[in-house]
Amino acid sequence: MLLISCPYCGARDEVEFFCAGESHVVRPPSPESASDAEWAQYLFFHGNPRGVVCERWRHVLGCNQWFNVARNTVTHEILAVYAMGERRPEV
Amino acid sequence: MTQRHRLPQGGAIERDRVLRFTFDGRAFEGFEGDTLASALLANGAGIVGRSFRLHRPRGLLASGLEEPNCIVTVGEGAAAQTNLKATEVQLSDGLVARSVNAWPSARFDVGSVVSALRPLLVTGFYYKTFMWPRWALYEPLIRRLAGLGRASMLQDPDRYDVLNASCDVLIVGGGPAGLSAALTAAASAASVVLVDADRSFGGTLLAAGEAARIEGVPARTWLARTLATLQQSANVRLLARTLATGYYDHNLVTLVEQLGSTADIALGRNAPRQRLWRLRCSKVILATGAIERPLVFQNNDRPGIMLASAVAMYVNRYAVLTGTDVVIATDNDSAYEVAETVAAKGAPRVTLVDTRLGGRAELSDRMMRAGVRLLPGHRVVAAHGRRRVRAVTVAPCDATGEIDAARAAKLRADLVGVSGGWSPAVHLFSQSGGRLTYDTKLPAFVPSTARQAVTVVGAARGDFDFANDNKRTMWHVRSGKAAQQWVDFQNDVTVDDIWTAATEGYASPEHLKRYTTLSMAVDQGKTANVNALGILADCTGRSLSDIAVTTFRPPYSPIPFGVLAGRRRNDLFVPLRRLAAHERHEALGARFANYGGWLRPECYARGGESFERAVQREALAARTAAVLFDASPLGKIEVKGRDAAKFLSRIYISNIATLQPGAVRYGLMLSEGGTIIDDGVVACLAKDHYQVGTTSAGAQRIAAWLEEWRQCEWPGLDVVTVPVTTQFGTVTLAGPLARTLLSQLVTDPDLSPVAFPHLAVRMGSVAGVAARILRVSYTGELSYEINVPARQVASLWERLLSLGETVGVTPMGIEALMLLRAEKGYIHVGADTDATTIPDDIGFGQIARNRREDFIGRRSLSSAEATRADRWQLVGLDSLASERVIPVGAQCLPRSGAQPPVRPCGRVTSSYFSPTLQRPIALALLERGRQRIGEQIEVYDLGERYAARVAPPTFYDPEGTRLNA
Amino acid sequence: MRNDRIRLGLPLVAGMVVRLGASAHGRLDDLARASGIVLPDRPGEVAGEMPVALWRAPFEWLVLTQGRNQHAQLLDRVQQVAADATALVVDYSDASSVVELSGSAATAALARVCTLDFATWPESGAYCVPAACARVSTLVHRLAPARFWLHVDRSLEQYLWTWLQEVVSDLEDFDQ
Repeated sequence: MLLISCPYCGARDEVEFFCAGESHVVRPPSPESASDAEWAQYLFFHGNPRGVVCERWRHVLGCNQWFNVARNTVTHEILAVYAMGERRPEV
Repeated sequence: MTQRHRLPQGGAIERDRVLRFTFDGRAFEGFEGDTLASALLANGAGIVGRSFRLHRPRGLLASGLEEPNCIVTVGEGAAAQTNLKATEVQLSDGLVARSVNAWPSARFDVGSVVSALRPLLVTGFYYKTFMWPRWALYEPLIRRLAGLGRASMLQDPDRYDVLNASCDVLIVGGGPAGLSAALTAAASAASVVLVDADRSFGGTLLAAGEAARIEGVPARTWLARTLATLQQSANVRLLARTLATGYYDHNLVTLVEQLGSTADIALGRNAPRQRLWRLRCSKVILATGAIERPLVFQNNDRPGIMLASAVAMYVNRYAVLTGTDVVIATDNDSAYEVAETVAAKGAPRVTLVDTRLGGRAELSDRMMRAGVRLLPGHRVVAAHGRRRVRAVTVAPCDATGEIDAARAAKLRADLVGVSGGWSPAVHLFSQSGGRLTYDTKLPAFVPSTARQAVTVVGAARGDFDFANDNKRTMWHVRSGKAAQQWVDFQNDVTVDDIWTAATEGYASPEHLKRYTTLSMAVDQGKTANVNALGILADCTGRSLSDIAVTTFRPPYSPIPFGVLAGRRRNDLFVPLRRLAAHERHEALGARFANYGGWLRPECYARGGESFERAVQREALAARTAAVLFDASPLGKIEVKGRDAAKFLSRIYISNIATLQPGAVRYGLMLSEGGTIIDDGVVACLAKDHYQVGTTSAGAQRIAAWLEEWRQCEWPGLDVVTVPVTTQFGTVTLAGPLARTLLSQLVTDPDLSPVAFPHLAVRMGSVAGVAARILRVSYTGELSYEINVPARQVASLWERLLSLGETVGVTPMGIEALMLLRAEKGYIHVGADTDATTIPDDIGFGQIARNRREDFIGRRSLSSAEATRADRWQLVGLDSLASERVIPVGAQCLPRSGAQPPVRPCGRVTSSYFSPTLQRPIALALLERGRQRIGEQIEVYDLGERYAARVAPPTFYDPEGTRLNA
Repeated sequence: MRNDRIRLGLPLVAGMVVRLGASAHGRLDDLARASGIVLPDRPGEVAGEMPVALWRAPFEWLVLTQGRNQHAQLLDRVQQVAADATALVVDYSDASSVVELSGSAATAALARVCTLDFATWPESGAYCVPAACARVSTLVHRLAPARFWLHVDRSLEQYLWTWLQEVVSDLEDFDQ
């Protein structure tokens, strides 16, 4: 039962949040010229590391804002919380 | 039986409060302060349970949650709680308890004949025996015989509370280590919570005799003083009868607190019986103690053989001594005190059998003074007696564990206390992510590195207050019969079973556990785990340092599902949304059901008519006169801004920029994979201002979808969204008479067909209430969706109904609506589409192809999968067997007469008997459907075959004359 | 509900949602003038007292009034400020309901519906944060030390009310 720090609302129980998977998945800037392989990469091939992962979370039962979380998938330690649109931090 | 094993004095029981209870139908008496276990022992009940597999007679082994044998059902009927250990049941007046897994009683169990089937029930027997001619023949009987307690099939009448809280320090375990930690923590300003599963704090101190001392004072005094200090500390919360069940991430610990009492029930007070605490802690201190291990020898499971510490607990805390010829068998110092206590309390003959030879001069002297006969360097090899232990065979053993059988001797014994060492209770520590190491000195698994903010103190850490020798533990009697040496008592796992598993290749602890079912019973192997690993290490030639324990999972001890559900039951099980006009629909005779999380009228059955008749009547009314439908749950999201059109054009497959103020357009929304996720109408309210409509079930999901793309992918777009789904209620007035009726209540806007065509939105007022009216139709008839503030729906509904009394306005439920739209071939997302359906499948391919700019999902529509020629397409099906409605989900066969197994080429997605057309109609997704119009196909469902002709999906008014009226 | 220890109520309150897109952030002063309230810029802060503005999300507020006329006038004024901007001002009187929870056991009751740690709240004064109550999206609004308003979607008011009724009745009857 993670305790997640929403950048706006502060530390809240995991039940208030929704996780939408990997962060920094780049949508091809011109999809029509993306190859099948590039488009498939964007749609389906996401990381699943044993260790630090950056994920998109939304405070769905709170302020409804999206943000990024750097989390260790083994220990569940949360190493960083940063705004949507910010670069991946050094962790 | 008048408590013949109750000592005349002593114990923390209230002898002036007699409690009456029954066990397996027999009446007994006990005292306030007893557990069911101590009271049963006091009354001389010897056989109190039957083992799971072989129905062996069993007595109590322990005094706490580690008890494997005496498993009971307490209470009767709906309130019965099953699979409780007698040691955790607080005795109360009128308690009714039954042993599980025995009939008619534990004492005389018919099931004991199963013991004779022993050879057939070896480890992994379900892979080996009962195989001819096939397992399925035996399975039902075996499954019926399996299991322990039977759960009541009635609804649990107990109520449960759930509480969220936080604290600075949580201390689990109220024994000496936990209490000391609490005193330290209390002295600071921190908020402290101390919990213990027992009704009293004290832990091992509760089993201590009068002579026991802590910090120079008698243990009892120290305990009373410490508790007084803690009770007076404002920052300390003491929770007795509270079990810490699970240790989760970020220091969240769950506790289950026992509330109330049978007194409450007697008074008819329906108070919550248990409370789940969800406690977020800055720091956790685990003082969970250690669990004693039984010794493993032949027939070590006989009634009358107990853990040595349990003997002491029953004697000192409950004043119960169940034997006169007492043998205490041990491989460590802790049992010496037990022998001393038992002798002091009057047992005439006490023998202490210690596997170790030599040393311990001080302890030997004490035994001599206490009158305890000491047998060092000896080991119990076997127990004798079947329904009760009556003797044990002891033999000399050397340091390697070899028995000198020639010098074995039989000792009379009616009570045997065994101690094979102690295992720190590391369950919660492990759940927190902490690692364990094997300490060869103790020997035991102890906590090493922690992953969260947790420390372990006391016996839980391996800090034992008695001396331990560096000895090699002999985990079982090697020269004895392995099949008669019991390791996991509850699931009847023997040394032989462990050897068999290892020999057959199941040599890792996780495999061993699942193959033998060791530790998988209600006691979760608390007295079996380490012994089993020791034996496994022996027979595979490994050291215990190289074997990892199996994963510890919550709960620490079984808890009812109800306490996890808390208040989420019956009406509160899921949040169910209610219409603002709910009472009005109720008054009109609506039958309600859950549609997409809303409680909605499915039909308004009149005068006892059936559901089917009501739906047919309502549907027909829509086509012939007028109907009223509460469409309030339809999703509505306002979208505004300079980039609103641009934004929405990326969300929909249609170009929203061409939508003019006052116009409405039907749109499909796709996932990035190109599949349809929702449909609805979008209305242009004004320049740069839109109202997005979604399906009722999709309202929240699509509002979130819009925000996700806006916040994450396109934050630079100048647009803002606000969901208004519940602000507006929607009254749909549909049918050929809709305009006539509505015009009686509306002057503004102009309702004439030219001024207000189909697919348009107008502001105005209806019966004096400001309204946003959309002319959209899901029924295929002339239709107005009138959006008014939700609380006005009921009165608007009433006005329209009263107006229509002369012409007949019929309230219509959702089922009739679904029928009508099927007649028109309008899809219902999720029914006529699934997670693979793309726009072209349902006939909207051209709109998507005409778009030049990018939208969500566009790229996927040019993939090979999306452009396959044999995709399943939406078609209609006319049932050729008149009157036969093809069931939804029926599969289209590739050729008539095909026998399953065969790959289907389509399936029926919607199907009704049409009152308008007086024949069955259906919609289906069919391979190359649009090229097969007119073809006859066969449809198959659960053995039945239906002949059907492929038709265009629009059965009724394909030109749309009614729509555009 | 009976006694001083804990009480439930359903006050009738009118309200609107005000949301500003990025390009409209400059309108804050105009909004303050039109509404008479300086809209709070962070969660927790509550501005004004009927009309009162509650922070819902960045640049999003629920503004409440009591009294139909006052509400209608306020809505009109505020909508004018938003009219030609990337901003939405939407009447929420029918979308939002208030469940009032008051009494000395109010926080004990709240501990049974939400996971908020009230120890981190300021000692006194009005305070309001978005949170989950009984798994439902809510604004938990403290008006006074023992008086809370739970702002919830009207369609889920019945659900939250039923849950709280059970909690309150347990606190009353069994002192737990």
